[in-house]
Amino acid sequence: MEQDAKDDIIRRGFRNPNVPALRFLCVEDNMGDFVLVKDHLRHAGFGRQPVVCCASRVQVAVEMLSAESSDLPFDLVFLDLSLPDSTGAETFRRLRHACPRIPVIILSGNNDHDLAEELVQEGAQDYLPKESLNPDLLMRCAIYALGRQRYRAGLEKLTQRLKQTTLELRAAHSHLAQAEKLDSICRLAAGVAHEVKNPLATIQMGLDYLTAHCVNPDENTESTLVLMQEAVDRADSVIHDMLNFSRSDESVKMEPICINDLVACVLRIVKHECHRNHVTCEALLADDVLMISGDLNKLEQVFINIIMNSVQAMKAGGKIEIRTKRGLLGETQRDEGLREMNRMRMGDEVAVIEISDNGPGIPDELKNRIFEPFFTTKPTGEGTGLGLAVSKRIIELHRGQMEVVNSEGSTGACVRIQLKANFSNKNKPNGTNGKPSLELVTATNRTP
Amino acid sequence: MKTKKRILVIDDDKPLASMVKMNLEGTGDYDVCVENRSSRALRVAQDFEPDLILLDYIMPGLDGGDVSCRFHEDPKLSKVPLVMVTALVSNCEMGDDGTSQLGGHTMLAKPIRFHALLACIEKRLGVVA
Repeated sequence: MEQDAKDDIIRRGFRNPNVPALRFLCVEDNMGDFVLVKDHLRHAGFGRQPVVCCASRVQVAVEMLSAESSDLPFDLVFLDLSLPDSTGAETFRRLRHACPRIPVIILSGNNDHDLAEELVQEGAQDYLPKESLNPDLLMRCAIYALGRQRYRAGLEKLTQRLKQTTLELRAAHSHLAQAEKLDSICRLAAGVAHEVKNPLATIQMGLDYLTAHCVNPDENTESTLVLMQEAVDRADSVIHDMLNFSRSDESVKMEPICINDLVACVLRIVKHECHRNHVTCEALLADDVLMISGDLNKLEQVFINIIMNSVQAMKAGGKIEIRTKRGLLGETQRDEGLREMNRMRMGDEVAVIEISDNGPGIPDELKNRIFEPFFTTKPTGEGTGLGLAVSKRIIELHRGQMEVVNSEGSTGACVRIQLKANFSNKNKPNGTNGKPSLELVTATNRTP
Repeated sequence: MKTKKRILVIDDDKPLASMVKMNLEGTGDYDVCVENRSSRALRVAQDFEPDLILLDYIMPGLDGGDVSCRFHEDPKLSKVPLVMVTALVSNCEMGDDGTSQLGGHTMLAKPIRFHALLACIEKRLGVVA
């Protein structure tokens, strides 16, 4: 019976002739007892005559309860504990295990108080000695059991929702904590950067002076000056990255960008570096025009960062594939701090860019940390640990999503970026309205 | 022998200012005066009569913006080319020649290589290198 109809019975009363008939399953091997129970139920005064079916074994009862999955489900089971295929508490437990949701009233030949208490604790609605059965008692027990079952179902639903909410809350909390951490790092970084620039400028000027005025420097002096210059350059680039990271929000200049053009442009920039490191870089571009709104320079920076990471991860050479395609945004990550209207929502049309390599991939234990500022696996001097953090921030400023997964079925990592598609300033390419041609991209499934 | 150009450096960072002075005077083309206190910048500038002023932006008390306003109000100094040197902008925000025009001033980002500073000064002074 549908839940609504059942609620209706409880609301309008079992005696009301306009509500649907209740369906009882009596699990009983003694035909005399079954007929008695059936008779009692018929005379109990339900508004509509209840349907009473019989099962002589637990196994049969389980099959009946499971088989009539949706059409005409039973509302309640009257269960005898002594059956040919099971006796005692075991009978109840088997039924309960197989059909945990159906309310069960135990009808027993003996009046065992301990067993009664034990089984009610385990979820039986009632325990009635057979000798004390009468129509009124059976009806009361059935009605109360159904009422309790209704509340239990409601409670289960609430518990489920609570669990879900708790999970979401926990995720939001960790997101907030991360955002807070980033915020303080940003402020710190900007402060440090400004403080360090002056002394760095002094060292630079000093170096330039020594370089210009050191007449005939010996070999050691010369290499000292070169090393010092390299050190200044390195410090300057770290500061540059830090500042970029801390205030990349200020200067995003949005313009219409064709993703395929962007990728082609980036490929030209990294071609030389890839070649030098024996890495081939291949682009598999979408056939149609994928337009987005974005800051060309900053997005270029993101793609170059990612590709250079791949190149550096593949010491012995390898292959990088850049794939662009159209998609629909699947699961979105919640961004609790962001109170904005133009964030992406599930089902939004996106341009998807996947950059995958066949390098060693990312160890599971590091996956959570790769976007942390200053986190790097590269040797000192080779990486500032800001590349991916800056990239992710830039993508977030574009209201896009960026994630790193290990490629399925092969070694290597895959970075997937999803940017909100913007077809408004170009003719809509064919297929835009043909929803079936769009592919749902989820955060977990890597589409081939 | 050609006359040396006079350059006034206003920067509260003493080591940096003296390094700039050393480098500029090392070329043999410039006379450099350094002032570390922005509050005295105007008076020093009026006395020194520079051909070009290098001005730091972030300074305690009067900052580079305040100082440049005072120069603007002075009939003589308002015609002297002014180059702002600041840690506020990064090199990446600069144009190809390492300079940027912000609020009517030529801006240079710290840290700056001396040859870039020199090129900028020569350009502003109209020196043909």
